[in-house]
Amino acid sequence: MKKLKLLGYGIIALQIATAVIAALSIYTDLTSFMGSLSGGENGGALRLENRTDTVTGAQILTIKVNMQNKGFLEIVATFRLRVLTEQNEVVTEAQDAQRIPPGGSKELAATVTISKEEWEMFQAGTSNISTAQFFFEVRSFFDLIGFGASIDVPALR
Amino acid sequence: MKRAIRAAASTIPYIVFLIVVPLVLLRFIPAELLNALAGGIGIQVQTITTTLALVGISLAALSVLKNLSREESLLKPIASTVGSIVTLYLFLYIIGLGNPLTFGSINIGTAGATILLDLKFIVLLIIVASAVSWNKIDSSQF
Repeated sequence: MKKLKLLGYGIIALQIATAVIAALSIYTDLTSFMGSLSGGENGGALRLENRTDTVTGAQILTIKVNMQNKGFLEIVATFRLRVLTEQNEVVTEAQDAQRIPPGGSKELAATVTISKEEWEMFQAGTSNISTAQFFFEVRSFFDLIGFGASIDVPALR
Repeated sequence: MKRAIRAAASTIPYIVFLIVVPLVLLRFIPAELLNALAGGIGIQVQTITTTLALVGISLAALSVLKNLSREESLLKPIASTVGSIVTLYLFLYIIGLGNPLTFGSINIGTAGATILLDLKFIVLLIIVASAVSWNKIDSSQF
């Protein structure tokens, strides 16, 4: 009978732990994700830098985002940038991930390089580059609970 | 008499939280938003509220059965076990936003924009809690 009572308390403890972990993680993930991408006090929205490599003539595209952890748990923020063709083949991709403690903020930067030939074809309208895919993800509670979004932006010539 | 009152009282949380509250909330959601959710990301809010109501009725009926049956009756552990299974289904259904088979890995959106939710660990904890509670039912009542 005593064992059953202990088991009952164990079940209640597990259920409460599940609810607390779920609430803290989802709150941390959502507030960090929304706060960073909607643009907070320290910037936050995407910043684009574009330059040409003077030696090779390649286009170097860097996208930066300032991620802020507005929750209660440590997060791992990931930002990935992919350049895709019409057939969904990856032309080039870059990824950055940072571990951010509660209340902290870090900049994520992804840099992709498009060769001179590909860039010239793209500007001439003969390249099959069609989409830039942005992927953001925030994971918390030992990286076990995550929230992310992927957005495809059509390439404009 | 006391048992009947207890049985009736035990149905109140199921009726309130799974039938009344979702149906009342549904009335406040604008039709445009319901259409956008259904057409844009495939979430049928009406279907979800209907399913919640059906689960609420099932859990209320099982609760009545459990409370009305005698201690030595086999109906009591059967009602408890079925109730636990239905509750587990309810959690998976809510976490999966209407699709319990996602097991916490939710992927909603259309071409061009996708939202990903990874709640597999929460689902795992819920399944473990359900499994342990079945073990308790098994140990105490069979």
